[in-house]
Amino acid sequence: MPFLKDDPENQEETPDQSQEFLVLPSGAEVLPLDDILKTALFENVPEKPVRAVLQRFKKNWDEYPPIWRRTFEDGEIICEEGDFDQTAFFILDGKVSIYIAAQLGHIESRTRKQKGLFGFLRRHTTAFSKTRKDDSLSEETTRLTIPTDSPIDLDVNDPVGHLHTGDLFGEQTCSNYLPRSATVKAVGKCVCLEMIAPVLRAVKENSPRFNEEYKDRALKNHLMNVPMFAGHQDEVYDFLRDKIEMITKFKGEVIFREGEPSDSFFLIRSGFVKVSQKKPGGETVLKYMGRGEHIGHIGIIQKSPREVTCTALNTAELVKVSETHFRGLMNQFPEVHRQFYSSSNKFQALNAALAQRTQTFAIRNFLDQGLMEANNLLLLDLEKCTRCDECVKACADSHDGVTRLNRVGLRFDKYLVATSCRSCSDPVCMPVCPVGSIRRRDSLEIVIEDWCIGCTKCADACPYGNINMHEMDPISLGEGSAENEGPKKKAKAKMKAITCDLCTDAGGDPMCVYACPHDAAHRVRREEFVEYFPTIFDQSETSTVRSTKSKQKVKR
Amino acid sequence: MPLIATAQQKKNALLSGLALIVFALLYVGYVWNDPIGPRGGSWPGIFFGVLAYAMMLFAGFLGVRKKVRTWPLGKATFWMNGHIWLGLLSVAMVFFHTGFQMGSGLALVVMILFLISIVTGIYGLAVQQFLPKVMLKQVGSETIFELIPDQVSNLKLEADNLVQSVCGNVDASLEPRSFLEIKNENLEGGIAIFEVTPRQGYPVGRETGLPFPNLNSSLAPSHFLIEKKDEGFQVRTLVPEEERDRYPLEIGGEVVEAAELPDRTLVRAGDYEFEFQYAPPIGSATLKGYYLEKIRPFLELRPSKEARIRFRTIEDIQNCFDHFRKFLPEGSFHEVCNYLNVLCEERRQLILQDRLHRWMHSWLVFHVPLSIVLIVLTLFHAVFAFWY
Repeated sequence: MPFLKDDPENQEETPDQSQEFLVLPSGAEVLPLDDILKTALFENVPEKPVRAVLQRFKKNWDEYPPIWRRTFEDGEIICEEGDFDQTAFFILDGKVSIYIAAQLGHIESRTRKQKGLFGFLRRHTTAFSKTRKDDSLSEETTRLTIPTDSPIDLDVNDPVGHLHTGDLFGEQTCSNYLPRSATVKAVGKCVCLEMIAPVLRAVKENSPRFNEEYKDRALKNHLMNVPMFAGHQDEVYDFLRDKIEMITKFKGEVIFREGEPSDSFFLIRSGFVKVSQKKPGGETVLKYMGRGEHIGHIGIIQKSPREVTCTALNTAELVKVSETHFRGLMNQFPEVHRQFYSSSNKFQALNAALAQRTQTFAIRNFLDQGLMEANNLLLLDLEKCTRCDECVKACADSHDGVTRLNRVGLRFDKYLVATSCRSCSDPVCMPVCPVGSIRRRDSLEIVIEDWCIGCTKCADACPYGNINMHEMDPISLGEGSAENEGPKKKAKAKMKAITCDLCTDAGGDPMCVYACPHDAAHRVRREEFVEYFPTIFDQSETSTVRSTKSKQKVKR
Repeated sequence: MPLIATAQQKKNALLSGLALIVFALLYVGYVWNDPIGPRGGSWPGIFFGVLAYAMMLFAGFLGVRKKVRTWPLGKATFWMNGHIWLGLLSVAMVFFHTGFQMGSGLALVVMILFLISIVTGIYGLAVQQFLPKVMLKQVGSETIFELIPDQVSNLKLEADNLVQSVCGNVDASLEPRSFLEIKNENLEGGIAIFEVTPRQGYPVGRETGLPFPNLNSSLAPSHFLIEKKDEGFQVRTLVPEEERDRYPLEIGGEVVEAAELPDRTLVRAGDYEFEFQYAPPIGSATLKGYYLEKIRPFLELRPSKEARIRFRTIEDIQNCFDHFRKFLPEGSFHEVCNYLNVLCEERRQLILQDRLHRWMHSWLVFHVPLSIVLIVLTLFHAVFAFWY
C-alpha cells in the first residue's frame, strides 16, 4: 500500500517531498498528466486549478505521481479495513463490494469451554447467569448502519454494500489519516484511480458535479441513519434536497458556540465533532459525534440559544439545514417533531447528569494520575484484598471467558486503581474509531460495538491502557458471509478491542464487585471520590478543579 | 480486630453473639432438665446436631457460590460473612450436640475433622485479615502472583545486561559473537571498550554511560566481528560483498574489509560509530566476580538459601551494596551498582510476595477438602445414628 510519512494536510506538497515519501503500489499504472485530466474524475471540473495542483508533481511524474491508475481482477482486495494508507480511490469502470470483514460477534476465549461438573453447569445455565447478553442495549442503540469511508453506510445486520463506476471511497483515510473503515474488493474487473490528498482536495473544491452528488448521497444516507426520520425518509429527502448546504470545517474550527442564536441544524457527513460546554472551572466534553449523527436541533426546538459549543476535531463535512427549513420540516412531519423533542430532552438529562458530576474538589494528586478524568473507577482495597482473583475470574465468566479487568494499575493510598475502563469525562477513544463502533451509553460507560475492525486506534488513544486488543477465535468462514466473498475462503483470526462495560446488562453491581468475597472491590462513581479519598481533599480550597488530561501513559 | 471494624461486621458479630446466648441458654435448660445428661441421641441433642449440620452446609455453600460466580445467588460478601460467622457458631452447636464429648468411632472421626476444619479456617481468617496489610506496606513492587516467574527472569536478564555492559560477557558458555549482536542504537557516538578474558579468549563490547543497551538483542544482522589477533585485535567485516557499498566498514576514515585495531581507533560500520579502546576498565573483574558469586544467585527463580539470608531485609541489601561500592571506581560502575541494588530490592519484595501469597492461600489446601469430607461423613454419621 502506498504511504506518506506525514499528514499531507500539514505540509506543502512539493514534488521533492513526495518523491521522498511516496511509494507506489505494485501494479500502479502511471498515466500522463493530460490523460489523467481526461478521465471521468475530472469531468466538468475546471481544468486550470486542478492542473495547477498536478503541475506541482510534474518534475518527477513518472516515478512519484500524485494519482495513478490501477486495475483489479475479480475478487482482488483493493484495500482492507484497519490499514493505514493515505489514498482515496475513484472507480473509473467496474463494481466493487464494500464490507466489514471483522467477525460480527462477541469475543470468546479459547479456554472458555470448561470441563467438569461446574463447567457443564456454566455452559448450560447462561440464561440463568448474570452474564452479558449483548453490548447493544436496544433502548439505547441509535445506529442502524455502520459508517464507512465511502458514499454508502452498511447495514448493521448485513454489512455488505456495493459501489459502482463514478463512486469515490477512502476520503477519510486520505484526508484525516484514519485507518480504512471497511474492506473493498473488486467484483469483476475493476479500474480505479488512486490519489493522494492534494488531488482529492483539488477535485472536491472545484467540481460542482461532485458537490451536487455528495449533497444528494449525503442527505439520503443521513436520513436513513437518523432514527427520528424512521418511516419518513423519502418524504423528508424530497423536502430537504433543495434546501441544504454542504459545509466543511477543518480541525479546531468551531461550528457553533454556546450562547449563539440557534440558526441551523447539522448532519455530520464525515469527520468528528466535539460537543462541549462551559462549566465552572473549565470546559467539559459532553460527547463526541461522528458520521451519521446530528447536532444543533435542541436550540431550534426549544427556541433558545445554543447550549453547547461544537468544534470539528478533524476535517468534518456537514450538511447544514437552516432554522427556517428545519422548522418547516417539523411542521410538516409532526411525528419527526415529536422524536426530535424527545431526543433533546434526553440530551439535557445527560447534560444535567454530567454537570452534577463536576465536583468542587481541589485535588492535586488526582490530577497527576488522571483520576479526575474518570467517571467511574474500579478500586481494590489492598488492605482487604487477598489476591484471590475472584474479580478477574468473574469478569471473564461474564464476558465469554475474556477478562476486561487486570488486577494491576496505579496505587493510590490503600487502593489499587485497577486496569478497567474509567468512563472518562473526555473519552478520547471515541473520536478515533474509523467505523464509529465506540459509543457512550446514557449511563456514561463506554461500549465497543461488535463491528470493531481491530485497527487498535482506540487502544493507542486510551491514556490509561484500559482498552485491550483480544484475538478472536479463528472461525471458518461460512458460505454467504460477507467476508467469504471472493478467494479468501479460509479460517482467519481477527483482533477486537475490548473494554469494561460495567456489566450494565447484568444489572446491579459489576460482576467483579458482585463476586468479591472480601468486600475489597468497589466501583466508585465520581461523586463518591470524596468518600473514598478523604485525606487527599484540601477542603480549604473550594474552587472547582477540572483535570487537565494526564498525558502520562500508564500502559504496562 | 479488622474483621469487626466495619458496621456490617459489627452487626454480624452482634447477631452471632445473640444467637450464641440464646442457644447456650437452651442448652443449659436442656442439661438442667435432663436426668441422663447431654448426649447426641436425645431430641435436644439431635436439634443441635441438625442445626450444626445446617450451618456447616451453609458455610460450605460458599465454595459452590465461587464456582458459579455469575449466578444471581447474592453477593459473594454475603456468603463469605455467612461462612465465617455461621462456621464459628457451628462450633458451639456441635459441642451442644455432643455434650462437650469427643465421641467414639465415626463420631470421633467426624469430630476430629470438624475441629481441624475449624482450626484451619480460623487460621485462614486470621492471615487474610493481617497479611494483605503487610503486603500493601512491604511489597511496593507487587505483581500478579502468576507473573512472578516472568518478572524474576526479566530482573535477571536486566541485571545480566547491566553487568555485561561494563564487564563483558557474564555467561561463559556463549560463543564469540559479532559485535552487532551485542550492541544497540545507543552505541552511536559512544565508546566501546574491549577486554579479553583469558578463560574465554574472545572480546566483548560495552557501551559507556546509561541507559544500558539490551546486549542480548540479536535482531540486527551481523556487520562485523572484532577478534583477538596476536597481541592486539583485528576487525573484519561480515557484510556480504554485494552489500559492502551500503554498509562499509571504516577504520580511521578508510574503508576496509579487515584491519588491525590499535588502541583508541575510530570505527564506523553501517550506522554505528564508536571509539575502540583496549584497556579493560578497572574494577570490572571485581564487579563481575561479586555479581556472579553473590548477586546472580539471588536473582534466580529459586534463590539459594545463602543468598536469601544475605539479602533478607532492605537494610541487608543496602549494607551489602554500600560495602561493595567502596571497591569499585566511581562513575558508571557506581551507577550499575545502584541499579543492581534496586533490582535486588525488587527481587526481595517478590520473594516476600510469594511467601505472603502462599501463607494467605495454602491453608485452603487442607481446609477445603477436609470440609468436603466432613460434610459427607457427617451425613453418614447422621444416617447411621438414626438407623441404629
